[in-house]
Amino acid sequence: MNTANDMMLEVPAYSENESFVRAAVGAFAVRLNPTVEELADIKTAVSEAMTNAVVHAYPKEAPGRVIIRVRVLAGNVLCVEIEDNGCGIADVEKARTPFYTTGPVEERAGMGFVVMETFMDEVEVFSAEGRGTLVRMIRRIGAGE
Amino acid sequence: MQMQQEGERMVITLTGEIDHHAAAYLRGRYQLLMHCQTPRQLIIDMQGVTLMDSSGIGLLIGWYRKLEPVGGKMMLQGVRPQVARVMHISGLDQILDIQEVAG
Repeated sequence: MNTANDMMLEVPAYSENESFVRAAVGAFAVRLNPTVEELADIKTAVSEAMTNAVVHAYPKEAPGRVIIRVRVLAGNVLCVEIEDNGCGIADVEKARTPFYTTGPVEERAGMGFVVMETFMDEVEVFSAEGRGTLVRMIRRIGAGE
Repeated sequence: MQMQQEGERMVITLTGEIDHHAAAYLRGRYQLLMHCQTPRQLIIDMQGVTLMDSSGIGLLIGWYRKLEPVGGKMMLQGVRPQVARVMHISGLDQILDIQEVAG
């Protein structure tokens, strides 16, 4: 296994790209020989981060781009970064609070970051208002063996 | 999304992956279905749902909130382990009857 392997995708922040992005990251992660559960965890976490970019980063009438970087790190570790150049998050700690959402209550559960934190080993959020947000997620594959 | 009604009991069958994009579509379909009728018992069959993120939780809570004030009951059946994990994290299992199946 080449631990330097990586990939990058760039897509418009369209909701129909959510399934494509998680499928692409999942296909890349397969080479680390994850269990079915590990793969589903990664895809679900990616779905949450991508959805945040689609829903919150850009105005509906002017969706920008989302960049997805995936790297294999030493020790059978997957690193996924989801980055936008949108409005940024004013208060990252507040945004990570369970049930916190700026979206319609009947549509958004406010659990996106909680799901990411539960399904991945590490989640870091870097954000600046008016400049964008980068979510970095780490998952060790085979840690349960 | 398929719907089957027997009297006051309605079964909605969901399949595939439920994310934000799919949830928006399902929300629209549900509104159309419920335009003329409100079931006393709504069963969501999720055996065919292979992945669901928190957008799906929002969708189900939205359906529950529409049904509960008019005395309707909602339950989820055939929930796969991965989908059940998202439900447990969000506390959905505290408000809804959830029947899980093995992966």
